[in-house]
Parts: sequence; structure tokens; C-alpha cells
Amino acid sequence: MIRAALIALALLTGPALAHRLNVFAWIDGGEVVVEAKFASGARPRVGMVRVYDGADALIRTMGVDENGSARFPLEGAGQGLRIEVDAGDGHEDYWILTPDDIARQTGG
Amino acid sequence: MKAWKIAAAAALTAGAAQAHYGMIIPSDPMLAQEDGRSVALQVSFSHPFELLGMPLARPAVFGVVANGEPQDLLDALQPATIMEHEGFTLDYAIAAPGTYVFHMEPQPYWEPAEDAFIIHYTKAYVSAFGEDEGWDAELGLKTEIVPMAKPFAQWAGNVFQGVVKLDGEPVPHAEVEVEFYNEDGAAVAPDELMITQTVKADANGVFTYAAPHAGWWGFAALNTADYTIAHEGEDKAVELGAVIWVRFEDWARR
Amino acid sequence: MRAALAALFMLCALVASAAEPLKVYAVNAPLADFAARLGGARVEAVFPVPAGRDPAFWRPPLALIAEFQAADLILLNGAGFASWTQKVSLPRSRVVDTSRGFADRYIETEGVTHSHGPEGAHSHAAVASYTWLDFRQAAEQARAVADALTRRAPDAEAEIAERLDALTADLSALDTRARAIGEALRDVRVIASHPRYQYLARAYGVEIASLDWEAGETPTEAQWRAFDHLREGAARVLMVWEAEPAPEASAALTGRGVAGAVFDPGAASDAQSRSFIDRMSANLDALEAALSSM
Repeated sequence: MIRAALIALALLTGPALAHRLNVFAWIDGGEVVVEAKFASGARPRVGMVRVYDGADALIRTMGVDENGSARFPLEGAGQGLRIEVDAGDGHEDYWILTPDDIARQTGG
Repeated sequence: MKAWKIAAAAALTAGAAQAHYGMIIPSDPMLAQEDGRSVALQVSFSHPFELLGMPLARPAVFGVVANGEPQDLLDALQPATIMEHEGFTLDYAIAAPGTYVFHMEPQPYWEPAEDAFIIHYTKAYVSAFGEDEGWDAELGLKTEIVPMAKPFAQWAGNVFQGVVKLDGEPVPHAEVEVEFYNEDGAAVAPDELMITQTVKADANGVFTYAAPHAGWWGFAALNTADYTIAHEGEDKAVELGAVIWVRFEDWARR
Repeated sequence: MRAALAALFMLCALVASAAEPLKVYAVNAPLADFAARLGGARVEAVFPVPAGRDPAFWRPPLALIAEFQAADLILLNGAGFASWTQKVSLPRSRVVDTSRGFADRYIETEGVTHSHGPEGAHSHAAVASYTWLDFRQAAEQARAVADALTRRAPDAEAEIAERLDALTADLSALDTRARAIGEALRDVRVIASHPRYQYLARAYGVEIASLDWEAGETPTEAQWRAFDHLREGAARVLMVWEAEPAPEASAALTGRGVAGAVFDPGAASDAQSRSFIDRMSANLDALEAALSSM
């Protein structure tokens, strides 16, 4: 019921949401994996990844690969990370990894 | 509260309870961006239509296969009371899009009414952020229903098909019990026989069922184990259940 | 019914010890206020958004997010309010989206991008998020809070229910007053300084045109021209400010013979620490005063 309403809403607001960028980040083998996807499922081919530490200071920037992904070592993540991807034209999103998330995903 | 008690009382006076089900019920079978990035599971051993609980001891195995990667979650289970009996809850953070298959192997449950032990290998699926690959994967459990239709993103009224497997092999003509999780207690069975539906698989172990109503439906394929477990000095049969929980959605119109 | 029973099954799930108050984190002031009032001594309500920040768009620092993750209960407003909550993993069983029950009644808005304020560039969500300005919706949100508290503190069920009745009665009184004010505003052109009042407008039958003026700043000549364009042809005009306007702005309004009223939408914490009911009562007082001055 609720879901139905939300979907109806999404359909009505179509263009804005269809273009929305979503960013995911998780830890795999001591590295942070970043993945950016448009709500349509398409991957941005270009985009800037900006990594912020627990104090929200920029500690790293890099581009995404052709799959909208990026990887970087899990350094300076002690107080958590905020990972932002900017695919241009106002398409940007972020994902937050708290120290708790990192501990859980590294099995610590 | 009151309604539940009445329903429970009615069920009790109606006679023997119906099928047992290992239950893993996710808070959301299809996670969208707006739903946040975590899912909550209710884990129990119950009669889902009548909402009658049985105690579920800490399972022997509880885990998730996330995009093909197995992960042990046994220690993350939090004791909880579900349908007035011991059960568990689990908050699981979902970091990446994909299909998450939660599964449990409970400890053998002694059921005096059936003079047998019951072990229900139970599965439930969550698809996160629009990705559904891997819904048809076989986990390789002792006994398992391998879905032939997505176990989420189904309309009420769709047929659901699966293959019943035991030790990795299809079970010809396996009996599959089907029961609705009567979450809000609103569904009423006009006859006791309507509580648990039963279908039989074909010669290839494939069964088919069309769910008449939106919600969670449990499918349990029951086989007798080729081993026994001693109870008070006597060898007792073991009922092996392959349980899969499938979510059907209401037809939606704008 | 469904919610009540679902609640029942989770009921004893996480029974808190009676000694420790439940740590309840809320994303806006109305929800924190409801939790505090409903829970009494059983609840420690935390609304951690610093003064002067817009809670709808504010993003907490990581250390604070960790506190949210560790809370006993996390109260979300839903309707796109505080979108950071969708960008972190909050424990689902402790999260309550208080407007989910009326998600089919969300009001769509046009996405407008702003580049002002301490939040920097932000866009107003595609769904209006100040849901509580329809006081019946506020009552539904209060009930969602009460249900969630009862699940965590089942032994306090009776007292929570009693307090919910009182809160619902207060909200219902606000609703009745707002309805009368809406009636009186029927032939008044209402212009708001910021798009905040979509649910108020719908609930009480008032058409509200919105500007996009920054609270407390003096509007430019161009902004006044836009304002004059909006009020063209209207005999009676009411300007609704989301916060006390700058004296020059107030004077410019008076010079135009236009009545003004401050209606604090109440998302942020209150400088005077008033309750939600008191803040909203003051808003309705202001509207009534403006009406009688016309």
C-alpha cells in the first residue's frame, strides 16, 4: 500500500528522480569500493569521487572508472568516511561509513 | 491486542494447529533508496496463519548470501519475543545494491504431537536498490526450494514455482505446504483445511502455486531424513523442511 | 489494526529496562517534542540540530551519526525530510518513519535549487516535507511516536496512551482553530516568504503563493517587484514570514498597506524552548491578529 503510493509518486515526479544519482560504498579486502548508479540503472562514465574524513576534511579525490566505480585503500578512515560522487550537471550523491560500519564490514 | 487474543483463542479451540514454519520475515523485500540502508528481520518458528508461536532456540546456522558472498550472522541475532515465544530479530546493514538471501538451519525441534524432530531450513530474500541478480542461486542447503520465479517483486495472483531439492537432487512428487503469514490477523479461514494449502511437485520436483492475496507466503517442502535422532533413549524420525518465504504485492493503480 | 498487531509481534522484542530512559533521536523539533511529552521520564529526547541550521537539509557530522546509530529509537519525519538518513545505515528495527502511514498524501513540489544559506547549494525536495503543519497529520505522527515508544516500553503503555489522548486533543484544538482561520482567509491573497506551508494550505483550504526569501534578510527591489506582481488585483493581502522580518522589510510591507504575520514552521528548535503546541498556537494568534488588522 505504502510502497504503491511511493511508486505512484515516483512515476509522477519521473524526470527528476529518474536522473538521480545514487552512491554506494562498502569495504572489500581492506579497500573501500565506491559505486555510483543513476536511478535508471545506468552508470556514470565520468565523475569525481571526493573522500572526506570524520572531521569532514577532504582527504582524497579520484575519478570513477567506466563502470562508475572507484577503489581506494582504507586509510585515514578511523573516524569514518563520507564519500561523495559528482557526475556533473548537479548529479551528486554521497554515502557515509561510520566507524561502526567499518568495524562491522572488516569483521572487527 | 484484543483481536489477536481472540484469534488465538479461536484457533486453539478450533483444534490442532496447522503447519509449522521456520520464519524469516524481512521488514522490506525490496529496498528502495527512500527506505534507508538497513533491513530488520524477524526470525521465529511459528504457525504463520494462526499466529501461534513456538520457541526457537538459537539456530545452528544463520547467515546471508550477499551477492554470492556468504556471511555468518549467527552472533548478530538478538533474542526477541515473537508471537509470545522465543525468537530473534536482526538489523542488517545493506551496503551495496544486490540480492541478499538470508537463511537458517534451526536446531532440531522436538514435536511430541508428531513424535518426530523438525528441522526447517529456511530462506528469505531481500533485493536492494533495484538489483535482483542472483535470486535464482542455489545455496546448497541440506534441503532447499530453489525458486523458478523471483521470490520478490511478485503480484498477488501470480503463480510461484520452485524445485524441491534434498541433498542437491530434485525430489519427485514432493509435498509442499503453503501458508499465508496472517500478519494483521485479518484473514479468516472458512475451514481448517484452508489454513495450510498443499500442492505436490511434478516428477521433476517442480511445484506451482498461485497466491490469492498480497503478503508473505511460506512454502515448506517436507521430507523425512535418512537418519534419526534419539529422544529419551528412542530413535525418532526427523522431518526436514525446505522453507522459502515469498512476498507478493498488491496490484497498484495510480 | 495492522500497525497495532505488527507492533504486538515486535512488542516484547526490545523491552528496555525501566531504570534507563530510552534515548530517542529525532530529525526535527516537533517529533522530539512529541517523544518527550509522550514518554515523560521514560524518554530522553534528543534533537541535535544546532540552532540556525535548517534541519530539513542539515547533515550531521559523523560522530553524531554514530550517536543516531546507537539510539534506542530514531524518529524520522519521512517525506524527504533530512535526506541524510537515507545515506547511512540506521538500524531498521529502531527507525520509525512517522509519516509513512500517509505517504499517499504527500504533496509534490517542484525541485528548486538554492545556493544560499549555511547548507550551501541545496534543493528543496520533490515532496513537501513540513507534514506536521496539517495538524491531523501531526496527530498521526504523534500516534506513530506513541506506538514506537510503547513497543520499547510496554509497561508504560497506559501512561503513554493517556498522554497521547491529551496531545491528540491539543492537536485537534489547533486543527479546529486553523480551520476557522482558513475560512476567514478564503478571500485573502496569502503570500509566504518561503515554500513551507503546502500542508497547511491544503488542510485549511488556503491558497498560498510562495516566494523564496531568506529569513531575516532585507528583500531587494527585484524581490519586491515579484511580490507586487503576486499581489496584483487582490483587495486583501497577507504576507506570511517564516521568521521575524528585518525592520526595513516590515516597513516596506506596511508602506504597501499589506498585513504581515510570522508563522514559524517549527522544524528547528525554538529559541524560547516552547512546546510544539505553544509554538503553533502563537502562529495561529499571529494569523488571527493579522486578519483582524485588515
